[in-house]
Amino acid sequence: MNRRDFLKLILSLPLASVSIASLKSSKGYAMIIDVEKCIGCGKCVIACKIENGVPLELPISRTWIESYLDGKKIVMNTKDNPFIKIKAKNGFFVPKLCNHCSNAPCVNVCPVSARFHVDGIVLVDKDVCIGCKYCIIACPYGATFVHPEEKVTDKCTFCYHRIRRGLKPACVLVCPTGARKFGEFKEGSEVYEILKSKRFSVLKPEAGTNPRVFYLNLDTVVE
Amino acid sequence: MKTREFILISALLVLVASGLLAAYQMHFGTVIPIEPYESAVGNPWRLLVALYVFLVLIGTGAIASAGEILGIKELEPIIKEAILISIVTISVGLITIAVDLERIERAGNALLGYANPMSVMYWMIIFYVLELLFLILEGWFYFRADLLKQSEKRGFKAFISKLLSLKFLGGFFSKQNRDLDMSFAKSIGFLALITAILAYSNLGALFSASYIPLWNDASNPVYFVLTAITAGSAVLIFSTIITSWTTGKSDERKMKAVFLLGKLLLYSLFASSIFILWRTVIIGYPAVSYLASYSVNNLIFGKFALNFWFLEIFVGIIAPILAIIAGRKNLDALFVASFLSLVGIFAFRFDFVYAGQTSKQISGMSVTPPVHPLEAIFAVGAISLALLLYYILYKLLPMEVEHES
Ligand code: SF4
Ligand code: SF4
Repeated sequence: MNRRDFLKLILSLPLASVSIASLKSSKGYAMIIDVEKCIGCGKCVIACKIENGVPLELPISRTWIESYLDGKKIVMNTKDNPFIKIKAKNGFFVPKLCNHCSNAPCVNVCPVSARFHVDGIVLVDKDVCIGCKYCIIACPYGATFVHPEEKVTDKCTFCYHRIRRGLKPACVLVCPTGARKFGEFKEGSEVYEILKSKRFSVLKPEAGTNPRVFYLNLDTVVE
Repeated sequence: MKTREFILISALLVLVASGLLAAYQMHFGTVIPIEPYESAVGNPWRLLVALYVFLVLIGTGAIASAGEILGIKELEPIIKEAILISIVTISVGLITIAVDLERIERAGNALLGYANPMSVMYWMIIFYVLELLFLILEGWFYFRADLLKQSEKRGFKAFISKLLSLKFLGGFFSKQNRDLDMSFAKSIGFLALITAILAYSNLGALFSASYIPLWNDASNPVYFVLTAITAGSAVLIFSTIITSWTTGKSDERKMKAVFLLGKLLLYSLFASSIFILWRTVIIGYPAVSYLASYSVNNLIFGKFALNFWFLEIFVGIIAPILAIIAGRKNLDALFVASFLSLVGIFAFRFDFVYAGQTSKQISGMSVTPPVHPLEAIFAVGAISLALLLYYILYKLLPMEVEHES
């Protein structure tokens, strides 16, 4: 390790040391979101809803965009994009989704073992879920919800049905600016190299969940 | 059946039927779908969860068992009532929480084949089911001798007594058998008490096991046990006085028990007020996080302030304490105090469930209607069901206290 690499590692430690350690010990997938690249177009929200059968009109979504415009937070989780009506001077967009926590509260609290890890991805067994909603309560990120038609809880699966066939998750595929990067976390992979070389952060590190969704250029704490 | 009784039963039946229809509509109806509100957008746990917590934390059975074990003779005359009330409230509570499930038909999953022993909720289900079983067994041994006696008479009550006492298997009434039954009841009561304490504290831990600041408090388990004692003594006082008024029979020994319960209610209310002060200050004011102080301020100065100060504190604690102290040895005052403290406890359960989740709402989520009309109709139906079941059991079972253990 040269001096430059060492400095980079030191700089990234306070925000990410826990997550990196947990990822290294278990193989699996990870997503990187570059906040600077997100333009809040909401294409990922629509693509995800269509791909995964989540009603377009309802304010529930597997992925959603939060805008922090002029100090005010607005959420986009339907097909209507509220951001295009706003003339804000300053701001940024934060795409959010299930963080596929390595230490997932939703997995721990589920009374019927309907939530489990596969390749680092947290999945829901919809044939077993009883709809007690404890996982919604336990998730610190508001990333899970009751599907109104299936009457079980639903959330992002990193499009497990697609990645199993070697395809990209729908949101990654449609993002026009390449703000989302996805792949296996293993030496030499794109996500590995990005995380190795850039300073990144995770949401609510204080919750101790060890997320697998990493943010670049998110220099402030978002709710 | 007297006219007054007929009207009461009919009214309860109508309310139970409306509750059933509301439950049906919540699950299968298309007119007012409730699901969109029950997501991360707003409050996933709502009125039915608050009602469940209220019902399963009415610790009458635990008070009875503790009384038996500690040999508190004054409580003996109301042990039958106490056991029955606990059986009814836990059963209706479990029905309520089953209705709150999105997939009510899978309610058995947690017990059959898919258990997650890591989950606090799994243990909650286990402890409450066990407590219910122990209470039924305890009640059976407690009632059996009197059931056998009643079965010797004629009529419908005798027939029911024959069935419930399993007389056809060869049981017969004798003083010796009764003493044996009582010692069995006492031993099972001990198990019922242990599971009750586990169930109440586990329910507190179920809320603690979340990142929600108003809930994430190590004192929850102890506080839940304490409020179960408050609710249990209040319900026992209320029901004993009201049955003595409606039946016109005033049993000296039962009233003695009521006064003792009045003392228990008073002490537990004092302890509750200290707990509330402690919790509110500890959670909200060292300002450990923005969310923590937001949640507490929302409870005591914001949207829930009226509920908190008026219903929880004034109606639920101050007024009953004053009523008990001022109206020493006065049944009317105790009756009022027990009713007011129950209102306060219900408000506390409601606020606890709803206000806790306000920290979710500030994460950009929309605020949803506090109570959906269907939930309210079901809640009234569930309470009516509890009253109706207790009424039926009270009518059918031999409630008179004849023996001394
Ligand atoms: S973000 Fe929420 S839903 Fe996703 S794994 Fe973590 S706790 Fe579970
Ligand atoms: S809603 Fe389903 S997945 Fe979530 S905790 Fe309950 S049973 Fe488990």
